[in-house]
Amino acid sequence: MNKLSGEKIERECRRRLDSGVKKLVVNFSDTQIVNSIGVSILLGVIDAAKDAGAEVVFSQMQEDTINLFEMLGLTNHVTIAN
Amino acid sequence: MENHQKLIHTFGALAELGYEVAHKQNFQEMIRTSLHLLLGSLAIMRGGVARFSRFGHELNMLVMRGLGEEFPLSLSLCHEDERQFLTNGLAPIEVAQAKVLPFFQIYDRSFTKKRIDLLVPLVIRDDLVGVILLGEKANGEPYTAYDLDIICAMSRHIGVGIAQRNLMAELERRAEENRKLYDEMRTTYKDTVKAFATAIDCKDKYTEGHSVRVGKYSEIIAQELGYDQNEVEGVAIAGYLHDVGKLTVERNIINAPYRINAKESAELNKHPSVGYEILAPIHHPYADVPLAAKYHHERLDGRGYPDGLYDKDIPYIAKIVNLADSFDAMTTDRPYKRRRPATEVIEDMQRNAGKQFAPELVTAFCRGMLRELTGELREKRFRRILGRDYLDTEGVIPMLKNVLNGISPTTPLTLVSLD
Repeated sequence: MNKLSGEKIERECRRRLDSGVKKLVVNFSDTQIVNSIGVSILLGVIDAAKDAGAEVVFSQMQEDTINLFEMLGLTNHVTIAN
Repeated sequence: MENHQKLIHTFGALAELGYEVAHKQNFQEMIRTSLHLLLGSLAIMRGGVARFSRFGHELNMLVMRGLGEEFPLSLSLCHEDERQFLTNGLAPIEVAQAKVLPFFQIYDRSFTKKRIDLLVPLVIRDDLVGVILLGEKANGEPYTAYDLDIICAMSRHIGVGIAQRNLMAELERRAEENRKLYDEMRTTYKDTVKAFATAIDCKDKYTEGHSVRVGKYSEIIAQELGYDQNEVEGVAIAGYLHDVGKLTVERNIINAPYRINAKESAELNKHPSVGYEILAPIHHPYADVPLAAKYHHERLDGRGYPDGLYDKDIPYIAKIVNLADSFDAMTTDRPYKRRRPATEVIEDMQRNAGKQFAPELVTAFCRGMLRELTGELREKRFRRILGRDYLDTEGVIPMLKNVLNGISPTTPLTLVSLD
């Protein structure tokens, strides 16, 4: 995920949240590595969801990604699904 | 294993940040990406980067993430805050511990509301260029010494990026200032030259405006040759000043209402060399201006003066001014003869191409006339000088076309040169 595509995803999530969506599912099945920009974008999505009272679900994550998110504390804010 | 992964993640961000600062052309984009990298490297929930404005003594937010629309876009700094930040350097300041400073007291509400935990003064080469504000970490834990080291290292990169931008902006400002100064000097120079040309022309009541017209004709020839703006300007200046040497010639010789005798002619013929003497010591923004004055009466066939030079030995700018000068002499009333009709003048230029005039210059000059007469060129460069009807006579257009088709672009007399 680079900054451009990441910000596009974030904007789309915010748009959906504004339209009343209460659950966002982020599917990581095609994601090998999440870099710092990706983490920052996901934090933006989490923050926006919190403000909107919505739930964020991370699904189909690889083990390395789960480890990284646990270490960084992202998993404190989302639900992990297979 | 965990530490290993964390290191890879963090150093990946550091490497990307270094690349961003060094390679991004767009400053705003660079700052935005840098903040992403900093927040993402340690999973910091929110933050912002502000640039310090020395003039307003304020921090202007360049980019914010998660700070919301109510967060102030501009934060004032007093001298005490600035001094403390400078003393502190790049080390992150814990907001909770720094409430003694006026800055943190003024913005306490905003910082508390958005849980701003750290402020990093961007001090680069003893200069405060901005600050970075950082919220809490996603894991909710306090910042460790390792985190602070990483933040410090990344902030230095961002600070250098802002300092570079400031430097560039300052350089651009100075370059713009210099450009304006240069333009003003050029304008002054050109105005002075025109004033000089008018002064020269004042001496000769029958050829009033001659220097100015020669300047304009020279300019037209240079334009038709495809010279760039700077070169065109240089050629025009040479035209304006070509007769400056006449300032030293007796007024009664210049104004003689009859054909002057040999002695008077010898006196008058000194004016090119005198003009050169006058112009040579002046540092002109364009080369060859003095040479145009000295050699504008030389002819390709070597029968000109003062040195009787042949074709290739005559500076090109002098050839241009020579044609412009002769054209004006033929198309204005003189004390001893009326101006000649346009067809006759064109015929004269054609006949003397290769003898007196460089053929390609005659071609260029005639092309300029033709373009104006056929309406290809809207600007009335010739009509404005010669009057509306002078060129609009029967036979002029076919004659100009004939010139353009008939003159060889090369100079046949090149080989006649004594060298």
